[in-house]
Order: sequence, then structure tokens, then C-alpha cells
Amino acid sequence: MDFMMKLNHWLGRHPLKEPPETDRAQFTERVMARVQASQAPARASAWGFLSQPRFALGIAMAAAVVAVAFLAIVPQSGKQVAVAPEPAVTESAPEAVASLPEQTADEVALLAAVNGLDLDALPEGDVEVVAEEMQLIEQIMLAQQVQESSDEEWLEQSLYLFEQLEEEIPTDTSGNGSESEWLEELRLLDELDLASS
Amino acid sequence: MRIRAVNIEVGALVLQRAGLPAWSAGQGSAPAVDVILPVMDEDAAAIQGVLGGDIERYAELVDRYQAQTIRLAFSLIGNMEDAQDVAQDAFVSAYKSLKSFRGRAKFSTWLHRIVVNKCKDAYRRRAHAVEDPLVRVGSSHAVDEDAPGLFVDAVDESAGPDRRAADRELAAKISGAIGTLPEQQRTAFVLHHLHGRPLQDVAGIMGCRLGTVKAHVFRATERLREALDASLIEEIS
Repeated sequence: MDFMMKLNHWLGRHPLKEPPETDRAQFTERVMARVQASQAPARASAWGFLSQPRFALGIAMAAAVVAVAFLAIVPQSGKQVAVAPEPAVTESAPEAVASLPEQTADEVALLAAVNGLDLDALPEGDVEVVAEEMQLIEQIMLAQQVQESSDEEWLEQSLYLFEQLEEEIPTDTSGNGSESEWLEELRLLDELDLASS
Repeated sequence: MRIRAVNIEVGALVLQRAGLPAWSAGQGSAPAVDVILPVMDEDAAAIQGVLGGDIERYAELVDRYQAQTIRLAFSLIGNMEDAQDVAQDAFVSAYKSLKSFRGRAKFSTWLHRIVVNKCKDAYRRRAHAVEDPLVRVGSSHAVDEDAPGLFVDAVDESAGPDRRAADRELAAKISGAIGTLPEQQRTAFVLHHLHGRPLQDVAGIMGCRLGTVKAHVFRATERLREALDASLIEEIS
């Protein structure tokens, strides 16, 4: 007898095991419960994909990321919008107003400390007078420094000093009008001034 | 397929699903009142009812096919509890895909194709999960210890204990040999020899050509012949 025929004969006498009869009703109930829980194919709505757990989880995570990003960015930008204009007005305006008197006072105090001036002797509250005084002090300091420099520097600084003092530069003197004579005369005048002081 | 005068709407539904005009059941003319359509059996009626919104009608299909579906799953994976789970999953998947059922094949063939695919998934999951390589799906180790194997113990009570023990041993060895077959061969062999499905149906269920199915069945038979030694063959005879 052929092997397959023998096997088929044996299989014919030994049927496959059956599921327990008592489970049949429960099986149908379980299947129908799952079927009813799922979307009916004919009634499947366009939003049926939202019931998919992976999709719902993905949407939830994306929403959470967007929310976190929104909370992280919006308050900062809100501060920038709300606060940024204020410094432009509140900080720059007082600085522009207060800077000139403050700077003037600071410079006056500095120069006074350097030159040993008595600030109390200066007219109070008159900024222009104080500024003129400061300019005068600078010119005097510059004139004192000129004596210590070389002839050429001294000449340049003297010319600058004349220009600052708005005095005419002597072009014609009692001498022959040469530059050396004029410088000699100027030096003599300075010595006389220093001797008299 | 039974022939009877039936609900014309059901016939039209199936013809439409098959890509045919509803009147094609006649002789190329518009349907007359007395046209006899190819019968749409209870399956088609139930399917139409479900698709029409009557979900409870799906219970008819579940009741009708649950036994053979569980049996098929059991013969492929060798464990009754797992087989019931697989069959349940298959019914739910079939319900969800019912709109795509074209009606070209029988509902049972279409359902069994889903079962076979579910069994493949279960087989692969268990093959990865089981640590002991000797414990194979479908083998005697995977079934109940009380009555190992896929088959009912059919030896007469009058037979002696030695005879019953030998029969049980043979049942376990045949179950084990079937379980060690490659997946495709096992599926083809089980569907054809254990469930009596024609080779053409097996080809439809497995989604392959008839020649391929024949080759799978032939190779499976050869492997079983090698696996079951001469003494067993003598015992079978």
C-alpha cells in the first residue's frame, strides 16, 4: 500500500481535534463584541482613523510639542513686545537730558581737582559760565605746557593758542619782520609776563 | 452553488462586485422579471445585510464558520487556545475588510486565506519568542500533554493498553512531523489532506498557482515519508 494511502486511511480514522462545544457561543459573543467596538465598514466615518491608537498618540505628542514650544516662545516675544518700547523712551530720554549737566559737573570737578580751583568761587548754576571758565583753564594749561616744549612745537602751539584766543597773528613787527625776530620778541614778552606774575 | 430564484438585489450586488453588469446573468439582455440569477447563498445575504448596516448579521457568518476556522488554525499552529485567538482575530479582520470582499471566491475561501495569514504571523511571533528550538509550533510539544497531537484519540476502548499507547505515540509523531514541515508545505498539506480542500481551493487560499500547490503537497509528503520510519509505516498499514 502506498504511504499516502496509508496515511490518509489513518487520518480518516483520527479526525482533528475540535474546539470545545461550550466555547462556541462565547466565541461568537467575543467576536461580535470586538466587531461592534470597531467601526462598521459601511458606516466608517472620515474620522475613523482617529481611533487608531498610533495615530492618536502621534497627534497627542505633536500637540504637546507645539504647546511646549508655544509656551516657551510666546512669553519671551510678549516681553519683547511689551517691554522693548519702554526702555527706548524711559532710558534714552533721561540719559539725553541728564548727560550734559552731569558730564559738565564731572569735568569741572576733574579739572578743579587737577588745577586746584575752588569750585565755590564759580558762579552757581550757570553752565555757560562754567564752560567758558573750563575753556579758559584749558587754554592756560596749554600755554604753560608750551614753554616746556621745543621751539618748533612751541611755535605751533603758540599759533594754535593765538587762534584759540582769536588774536591776530603779528605779521609785521618793529624789526625786519622776519620769523626769528618775531619769535624772539614773543619770547621776551613771555618772560616779562612770567616775571611780573 | 445552489440555483434558486433569489433576491435580485443580492444577485446584483455580487455581480457588481465581480465587475459585471447586473443583467449579465441573463443572456446578454436586460433582466426580465423571471430571470434566475446565480444564487447568492446565505453568506452573500448576510454580507449584504452587514454592509447595509445590520452588524448583528455577521454573527451568522461567525456561527457558520467558527468550527472549521478554529480547526484550521489549530492544525497550523498546534495549540487550541492560540487557534481560538487567531480565529477570533481573523473574523474581526474579515469584518473590517468586508467592503473589499469582491465575491469572486467563496466567503469561506477568503476567510481561510485570512486565517492562514494570521497563523503565519502567530507562527513567526512564537518562533521568535520560544527559547527552546525543539518546541515547534504544530509539534507534539505544543499541544496538550493529556492528548498530545492534532488528532483525536480514536482507538477503541476495548483495545489493550499497549495498542492505545502505540496509537498515541503514532499520533504524536505524525503531528510532530507535520509541525516540522516548512511553512508553505505544511499549509498546503494541512489544507488538502487534513481539511479535504481541493487543490484549486488551496491555491486560492494560499494565493499561489495550482502547480505550486501541487509541488508543496508532493514535497511535504516526501518529507513525512522520510520522517515517519518504516516501523511506523508498517503500523499505519
